[in-house]
Amino acid sequence: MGKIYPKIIFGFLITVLIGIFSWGGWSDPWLGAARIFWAAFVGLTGFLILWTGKISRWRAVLFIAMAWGFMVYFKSESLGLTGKFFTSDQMRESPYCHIAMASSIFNYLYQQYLALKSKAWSAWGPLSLGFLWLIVTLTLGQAWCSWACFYGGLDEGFSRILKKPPLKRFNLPAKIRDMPAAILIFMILISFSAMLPIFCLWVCPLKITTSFLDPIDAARKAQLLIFAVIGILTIIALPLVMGKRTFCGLICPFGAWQALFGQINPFRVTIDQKECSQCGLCAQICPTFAITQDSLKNPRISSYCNRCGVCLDQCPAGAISYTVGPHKNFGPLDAKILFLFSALLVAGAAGALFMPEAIATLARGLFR
Amino acid sequence: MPYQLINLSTFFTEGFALGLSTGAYCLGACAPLLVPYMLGEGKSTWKANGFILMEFMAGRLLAYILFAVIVSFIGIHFSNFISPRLIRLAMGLSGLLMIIYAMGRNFSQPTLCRRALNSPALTRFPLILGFSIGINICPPFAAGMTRLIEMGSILFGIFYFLSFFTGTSLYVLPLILVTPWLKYERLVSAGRLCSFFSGIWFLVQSLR
Repeated sequence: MGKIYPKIIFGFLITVLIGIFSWGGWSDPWLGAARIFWAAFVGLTGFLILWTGKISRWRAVLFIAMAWGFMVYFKSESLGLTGKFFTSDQMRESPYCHIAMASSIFNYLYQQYLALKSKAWSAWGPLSLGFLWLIVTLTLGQAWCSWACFYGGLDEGFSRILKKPPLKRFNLPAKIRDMPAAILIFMILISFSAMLPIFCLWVCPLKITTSFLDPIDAARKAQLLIFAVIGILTIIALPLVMGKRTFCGLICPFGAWQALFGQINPFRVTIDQKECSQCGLCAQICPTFAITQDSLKNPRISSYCNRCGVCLDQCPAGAISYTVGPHKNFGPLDAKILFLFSALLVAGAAGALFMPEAIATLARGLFR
Repeated sequence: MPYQLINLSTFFTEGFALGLSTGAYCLGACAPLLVPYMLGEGKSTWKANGFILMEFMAGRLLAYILFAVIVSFIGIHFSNFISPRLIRLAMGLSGLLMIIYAMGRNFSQPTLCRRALNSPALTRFPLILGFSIGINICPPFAAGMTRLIEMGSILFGIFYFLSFFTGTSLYVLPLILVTPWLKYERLVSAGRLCSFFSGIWFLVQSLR
């Protein structure tokens, strides 16, 4: 385990930075305390990862907590504001998803042009989101999907319930792994064609964390049925029996988007050819189908890798590591420490947007 | 300038302007078919993809000209009768073609689709695909059709739709920009899977 002090300093540094980022005063003491709690929670995760050497175990705790926290935050906001479980209107707010934006890209471009010209900073929604996405992609790349995404913790949570999932060793055909990319291409084309956010309206079950449209007519009922089927199958049932993140690995188009653009990020998970014993354990346990037996022959991990750390924790030969490009060190710095620092900061900052509110809501409910 | 020639240039300009103003709609209809096909079948050379694109465009042009001739003959009443049916037929045909293509390319099992894909009837697949989407009477196409009937001349009608086709094509031509991406094997595989979704989408649209 080595010396404990550098690990404490690492965790403390993250706590301080997230604390500063999320700080908003004591006007609401519950919220103030929740902000401190959140910062400490992220810092503690960093400390525990370094102290125990188990990356994925502690990452998963943070990640799953974020997904459920996001649901608590959105649901309580939505119920508090409208008193209704369903949304009765079409989606009017700025979609925060590129798939949804494809249907109204020209409107957005024009709107953003007007916002820039008139210096109406408050109307900079999509631009700001675009800028945030760029920062996240530069700092984390595809690792967003296992460290900071506020949806991914749902199927990860279910995939970890059974210790020995019955279909853990089931090998999918390699081309099925390209399904998210196919869905991404199709949804962008169709959203543009129909001028509607088709993925949001018809496919994405992750609206469970926000709100569904009122099932007032046959089409809306069909949408709800599709959401339910896809959701139950890919977020609950398949993760349970396969122990894999089937929604993130086989459906989520944002994962494919990040796999493509995440290549600009320098962090990688690399298999050391000299040390690899070709046991194939990593291919069996990879929760997002990013490693296959074929890819081990090179050995190379596909661009769909989420940097979740499961294979790093389990590899019996210790042949897998975080690298910057192909290098284990970046100057005097350890690539692993650099990556973990970057990942925890981004996850903590993303979570700071909703986790303190969610924690405060739960705390008020429990202790008041 | 002779009267006929003035009219011809007027109709040409009018058709071109209609095509330019509504081309985004055509792009929306063509892209979900053409992009997955180009990703799945194209090569990372401009020439190979240019050929696919040209074949597709030729199919569309053929459908437009055929339509111009037929509508000039049959008149407005009959065309009003066949339009909604033709839309469904066009959508259904496009969807079916894409499903056959996707099944033939993605799976080794359904030999029927593989055979169909290799049959002489489908050797010019992009041409047939272009034709099937070309006969889809979209709103801009319907606007052109009304004008065509007003003209009452087959020659003017052909010119009108030729210029309409030119205007709309300016939107479709940039789809060839997918070419440099085709060197990525995964994208080719994704394109083939995507063609299946497109097929289902068009088929469902035809049944609505």
